[in-house]
Amino acid sequence: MAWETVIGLEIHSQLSTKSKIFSGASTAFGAEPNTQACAVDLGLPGVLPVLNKEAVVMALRFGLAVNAKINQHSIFARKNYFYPDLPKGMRKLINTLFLLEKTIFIQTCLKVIRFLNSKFQ
Amino acid sequence: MSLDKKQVKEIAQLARLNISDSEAQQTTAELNNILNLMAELSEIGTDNVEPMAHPLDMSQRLREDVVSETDLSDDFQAIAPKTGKQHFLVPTVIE
Amino acid sequence: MMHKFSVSELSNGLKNRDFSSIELTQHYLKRIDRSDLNAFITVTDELALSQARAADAKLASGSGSVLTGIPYAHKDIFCTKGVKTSAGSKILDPFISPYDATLTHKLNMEGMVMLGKTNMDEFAMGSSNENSYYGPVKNPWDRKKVPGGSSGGSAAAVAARLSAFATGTDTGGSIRQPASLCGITGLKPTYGRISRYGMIAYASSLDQAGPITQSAEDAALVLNAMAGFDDKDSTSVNKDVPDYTENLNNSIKGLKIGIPKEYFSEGLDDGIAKVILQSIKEFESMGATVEEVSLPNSAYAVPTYYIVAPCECSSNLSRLDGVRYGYRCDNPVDLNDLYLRSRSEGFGEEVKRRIMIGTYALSAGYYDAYYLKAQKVRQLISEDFKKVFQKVDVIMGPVSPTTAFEIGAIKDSVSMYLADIYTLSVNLAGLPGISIPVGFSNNLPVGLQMIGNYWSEEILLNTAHLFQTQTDWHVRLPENT
Repeated sequence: MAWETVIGLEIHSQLSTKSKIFSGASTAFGAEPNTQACAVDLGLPGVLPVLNKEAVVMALRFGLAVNAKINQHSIFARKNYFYPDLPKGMRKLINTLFLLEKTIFIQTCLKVIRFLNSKFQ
Repeated sequence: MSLDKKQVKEIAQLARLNISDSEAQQTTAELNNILNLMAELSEIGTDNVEPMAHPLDMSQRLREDVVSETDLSDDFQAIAPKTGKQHFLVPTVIE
Repeated sequence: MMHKFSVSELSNGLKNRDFSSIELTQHYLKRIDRSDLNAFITVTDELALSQARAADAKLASGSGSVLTGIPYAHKDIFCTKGVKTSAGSKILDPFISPYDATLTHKLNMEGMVMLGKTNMDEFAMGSSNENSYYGPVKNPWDRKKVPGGSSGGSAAAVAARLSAFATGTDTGGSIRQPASLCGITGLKPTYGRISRYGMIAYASSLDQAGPITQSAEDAALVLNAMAGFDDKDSTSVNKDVPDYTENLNNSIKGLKIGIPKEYFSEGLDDGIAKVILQSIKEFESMGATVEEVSLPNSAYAVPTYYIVAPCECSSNLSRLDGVRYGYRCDNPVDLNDLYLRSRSEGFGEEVKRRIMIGTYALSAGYYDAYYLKAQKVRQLISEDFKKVFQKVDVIMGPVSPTTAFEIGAIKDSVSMYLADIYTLSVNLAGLPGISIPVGFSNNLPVGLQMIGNYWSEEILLNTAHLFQTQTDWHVRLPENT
């Protein structure tokens, strides 16, 4: 039986903002547990998120740097599931900020993958 | 679209709600009653209509990247059901 | 009899030192204590008295505002720091809020006195205040009847003069309908007018706070303090707050009133139709003109709302999981058990039904057929209003197809939902709407709904106020008040 290798890369990159994406709590490293979790982060009843401008700017900067197609109109959607580290029971995702299809970044990744693939055959 | 008991139990699990077997019958009937009401929407044509998520025509307001919150962890943990060592405690998740 | 005064009269009385805020507060607290309406979940007597003392000091030094020292009742959906905030639910019965909602803070800054937190349908889901963990509220006009919902406690409190004014919230009619059933005035402003920060969310794109008062004049006075931009709420609109009392007495000669033909069809009780049409003649006598208009997609408001709202609530209520605050079940064996039992034991039946409907309608495979479809119909409903407002200034019609019904009479959800037929579209479109008392049918109050274009609260309040200068429905009181 012949096996085909399929590799997916999910890459997370933490944006170096001073405050969090949806609240004004600090993102400083090294603080005691939960001392930087404000009412919004804890999902207390009635709290509301407000989007951090710098987070958007940084993400767009990356998009421009890899020559992605920047969309003028993006929507946040809620992905609902239950987990104790998910205070609101949902994640707010934006999947339409920019498209990395056919960018140099993706082409480079594909080259690396093909190279690794050829080594392991 | 009509639900059966099995689907209702699946929905309940997704929403983390307990439905006993005896309750499932009644809940299924109640939900189907409500779904019948919704079926009316299929009568109306909505081709080329933009969905309206929100009554206001505005885009997301952005906040300056400034730290505005202080440490209120004592206040927040004082109202928690169970805490320990500055954490909110839940039953073990990973064996 | 201090409790018969309106907010405006109380304000003058306090300013002229006819009575003090302490005397007023003690008077209301006594009335609340003697009341059998179950309008309050929590009575905050110590806090109220200390706020009254502070208010008296401010008034004495001349630094008070027009609302300083005035006692009010606060719907238990608004977070109040150090005070239980339950949203009418067992799952938040243990919740002492560690922060104030923006609205709470604003009223505190005015020097107002909070008498307590009013009873409500759980998480604002209901039209009768029968869905509360704390028991049903009784209508002061007939204690066997419901006061309406979800702001039933607030409406009953004002109707029975247990407070001069109360806060409410309106997602599908929850200020206007109880105001109508209790014979008082209730305003839902344009979506985005009043901050939602700290207001426990039911359906985020529909929820809006508003005043429940004895008159349009009082509503205007209080709206001045409630309205305004809040940077903590992304949906708060940065628009100047006019002085809503300034143009209350403007003439309405030439005001164009539209009566939607769809609102006067078979579901509406004859007695109510008669009272409503009679009241509209009053506006004509003041120089307004009336014409028939059409809102063709009105009938779809109920199914649209009862998809959109449950979808949004199923997501908003996910945070109630027994982990960080609120009710947690005893001895959970594992995480799944903690979630299942805390939520099942903590939520009431109607809330669970709506969470499940929402979960289903948002799930993969059904999202397009339900939620997305409902959003498109919502667009059509809004467009109906836009077209009508090109021709008329105000739309008038009934608030509720019936007067207050018996507690326990409506047992199935769908029948209860259908009663919201006249109020739901206003929330779907995000428009402002007001309910004012215009008469009685079978000895029970009847409310008239006025719907305005976006940001036309001044026109609604002006029109309502003039009606109230020519009539006395708004000063009628239940027996023995």
